[in-house]
Amino acid sequence: MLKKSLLALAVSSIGVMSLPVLADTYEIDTKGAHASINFAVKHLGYSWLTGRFDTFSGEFTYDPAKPEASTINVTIDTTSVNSNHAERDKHLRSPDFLNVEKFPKATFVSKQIKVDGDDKDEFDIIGDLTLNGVTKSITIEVDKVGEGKDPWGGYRAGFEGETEINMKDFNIKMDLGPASQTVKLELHVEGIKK
Amino acid sequence: MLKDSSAGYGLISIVIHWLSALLILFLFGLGIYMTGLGYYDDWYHKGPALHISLGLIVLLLMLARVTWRLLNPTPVALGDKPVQLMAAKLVKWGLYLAIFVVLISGYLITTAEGKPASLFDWIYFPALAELSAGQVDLAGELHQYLAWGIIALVVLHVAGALVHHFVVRDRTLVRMLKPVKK
Repeated sequence: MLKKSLLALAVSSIGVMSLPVLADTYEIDTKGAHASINFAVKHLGYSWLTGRFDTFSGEFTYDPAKPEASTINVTIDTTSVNSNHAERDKHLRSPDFLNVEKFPKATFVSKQIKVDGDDKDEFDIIGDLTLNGVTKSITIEVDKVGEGKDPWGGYRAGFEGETEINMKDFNIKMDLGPASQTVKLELHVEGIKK
Repeated sequence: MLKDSSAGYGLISIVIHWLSALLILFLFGLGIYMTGLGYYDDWYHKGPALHISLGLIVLLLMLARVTWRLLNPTPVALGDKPVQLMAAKLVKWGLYLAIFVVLISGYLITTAEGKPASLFDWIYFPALAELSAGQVDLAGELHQYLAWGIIALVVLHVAGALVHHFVVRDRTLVRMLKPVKK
């Protein structure tokens, strides 16, 4: 009797357990440069100075039916910082900013995805950003741009994301003034299904 | 008066020598001062602009000096101890080499992205090479460490001149102050 009920419990719990999500894995298309990591910092409070990281790579898993189960990780080559100004870029690589000799890589690893509201194409990615040797949790607001077959036999999905980080949080020493304490990150990611 | 002879330096060499000496020492101080400035300091942009302009002037002076050196007889070094003569020569060559490397590395950093180097917004020196990020950083390290190297060599150079003047009591230092008579 006891055996039977245990068996029944085991069988019924299989039904309750969610099946593992068969999310697809995508490689971020950095080869074709259909992805970019851009940043913007206010200059004196009068305008935006923009730049980007030329070199990075990463992967994400994504299932449109269950975006909250998605994951993403990205590795950025900090030496590739580019603001279209040789001397400023040299300064950005120095210990005043990114300290690239000591920390040549920055990483982002997602921990949790939060879908707010009904629109499954809008969600927040919460994850750990490691920059300048400091790891801190940040939230990236993401909008899905689109997904589908490409004309060359592949399948792609693309997103845009935005977040803001405080430079002091990541131990960035240089003080650019009261209007320029934060950096806006603008992310465009297109992945090719593996 | 203007030209060098085997007995001593002419006015042109003397002017180039002292003008370069003043500019190089000033550039060293300015370099240290300006790299320590905060973003809101008055000299945050003026410092580097002046540093680049004066650096370009030193580069022109050095090119003029080498040209002038090749066109003129080289004054014969005073003293008879081979070790001393060799040391003086090494310091001099070291100075030439270090100064040129510092000038060229500075030039390459400033023009690394293809933009010209400006001499007081008056003459623009074109970029000769575009550098990658790693090359710019390497040039920066060379520039900084060799600038200290120049100062170390200057100390030896000055010490040598003072020894010649006060200990050996020859005309080595005076020769760099008074143009040779022809």
